[in-house]
Amino acid sequence: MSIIVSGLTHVYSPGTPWATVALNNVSLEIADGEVVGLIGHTGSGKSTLVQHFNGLLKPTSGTVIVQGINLGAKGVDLRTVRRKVGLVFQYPEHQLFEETVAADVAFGPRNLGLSDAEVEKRVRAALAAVELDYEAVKDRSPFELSGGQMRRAAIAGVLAMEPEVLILDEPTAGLDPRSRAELLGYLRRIHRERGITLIIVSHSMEEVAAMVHRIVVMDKGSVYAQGTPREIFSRGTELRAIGLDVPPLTRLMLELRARGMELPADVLTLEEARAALKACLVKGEKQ
Amino acid sequence: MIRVENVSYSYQAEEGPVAALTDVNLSIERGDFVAIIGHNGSGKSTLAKMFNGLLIPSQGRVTVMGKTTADPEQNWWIRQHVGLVFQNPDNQLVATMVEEDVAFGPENLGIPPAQIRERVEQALAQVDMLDKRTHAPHLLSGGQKQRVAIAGILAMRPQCLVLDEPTAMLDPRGRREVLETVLRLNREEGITVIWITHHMDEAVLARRVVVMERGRIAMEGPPRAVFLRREELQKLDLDVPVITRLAQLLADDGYAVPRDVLTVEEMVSLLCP
Repeated sequence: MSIIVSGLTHVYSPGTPWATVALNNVSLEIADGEVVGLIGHTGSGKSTLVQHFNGLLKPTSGTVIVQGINLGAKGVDLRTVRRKVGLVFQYPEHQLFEETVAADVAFGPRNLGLSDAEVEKRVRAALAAVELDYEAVKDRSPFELSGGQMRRAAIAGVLAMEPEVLILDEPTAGLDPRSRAELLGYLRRIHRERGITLIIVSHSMEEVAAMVHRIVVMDKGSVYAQGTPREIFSRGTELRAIGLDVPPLTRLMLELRARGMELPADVLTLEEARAALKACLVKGEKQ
Repeated sequence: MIRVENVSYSYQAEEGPVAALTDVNLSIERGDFVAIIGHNGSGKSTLAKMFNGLLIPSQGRVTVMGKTTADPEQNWWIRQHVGLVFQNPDNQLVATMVEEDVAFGPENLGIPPAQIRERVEQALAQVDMLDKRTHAPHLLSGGQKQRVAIAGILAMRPQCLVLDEPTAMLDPRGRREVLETVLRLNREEGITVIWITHHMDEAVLARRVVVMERGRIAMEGPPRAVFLRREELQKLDLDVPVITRLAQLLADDGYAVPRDVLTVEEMVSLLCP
């Protein structure tokens, strides 16, 4: 098991008038090599939760065990944990700082004390994984890149650490549709080729549905629901009530069902919706 | 209201001049709701900055109610009438209290304090944020911050709001708040809206859609007409709204479903009349 969270509670500013319970008794297990989508609206606790996975935040109570290491135990070397768990923050391009792209991506592996040859090998592989051409970008300032390229360079910096678990907080926020689709494609391939555990935090289930094994829905600091994308989509009405965006096709199916049409509630794709409606329209609703 | 005539714009990069806009013609009528879509780098943000003279065309001209943006004398007048709202609300809020933030614009116009108070109150009411007037902006949600930024523009009493991806950094709830606020300002108060977005489901709500690609206008028309041209959009790597696509697939299968259905609600009333 990659990550085991038990009874995790996190309170910000405890003991002050501003004390806020961000996580309330969360228990969750994530298997090795699993791809999990963590969804919930702003303030649901999803970013707070993932910041416990590499020890950036400490539980107020409860335990977090990552790759066999209990992060709350005395004397735990958090550097070891952060080497295993790569966390890509929201808008990671705001954290680029080196003079060249190559130096920026190399920053992490260099701090691991690796040889120059090994660092270069990792930088090349990390840039290739996000389809940035090493020769073309290595000497350029990261700030000359386009927004989408900057995002990819920042992700490459985390990939170069060769983490066993990769967590991305809203990786596609603010990108245009083309860059969004490309980035999700790279992540899918990275998972396939490296077999790492992948956790994607998002507001949008539609976006993660096609690539995750499991969706975990957070609401008000607790796990509200979890299951396969299909299981979660079929609960669209509830999800809308907690402020989540339900994909238009799911919403259509739910509305039509509410009006008495016999349709499945767990439609994921356009082709499924087409087939379901055809079956239904043939049954006498053909116009 | 706004006329963009034969506008080209290029900026200086290390490799030489880069054309951001090439021969763009566009006319925005009073009370219009125009969505501009296109990928990053298609020129849509450059175009947005043309509407209120933040950028001046290299060639051609932009006029706002007859006044050209290239005339520095008209700068203040134009920016008062055409307000620009950006993607990141955090970069647009300056004061420590919501109402002070909204008052910033009118104060700079030299308006008497009593009138400023009235404008601030009205602007906050327009975006449904009056109850948060004494709050600190940085403690608001993304959607609330963006609404305060819009109120700051409304307090200048503009004729036209230009919003450059105002929902890109917001969660679904924030997106809905901002979208509903702007739709209401357009429909009930007649404010002209230019809405730049990546979200097709936002574009379907506009009266007119403009598709940008490589600094040019690639398509233009009512959403129904534009989203019928699926193959052309696909060539530009843009999707039609998924409900429209479903309608088109069902039409292909021989069902009597129009090919230009735009929203879930429309589809429901079609299939379950």
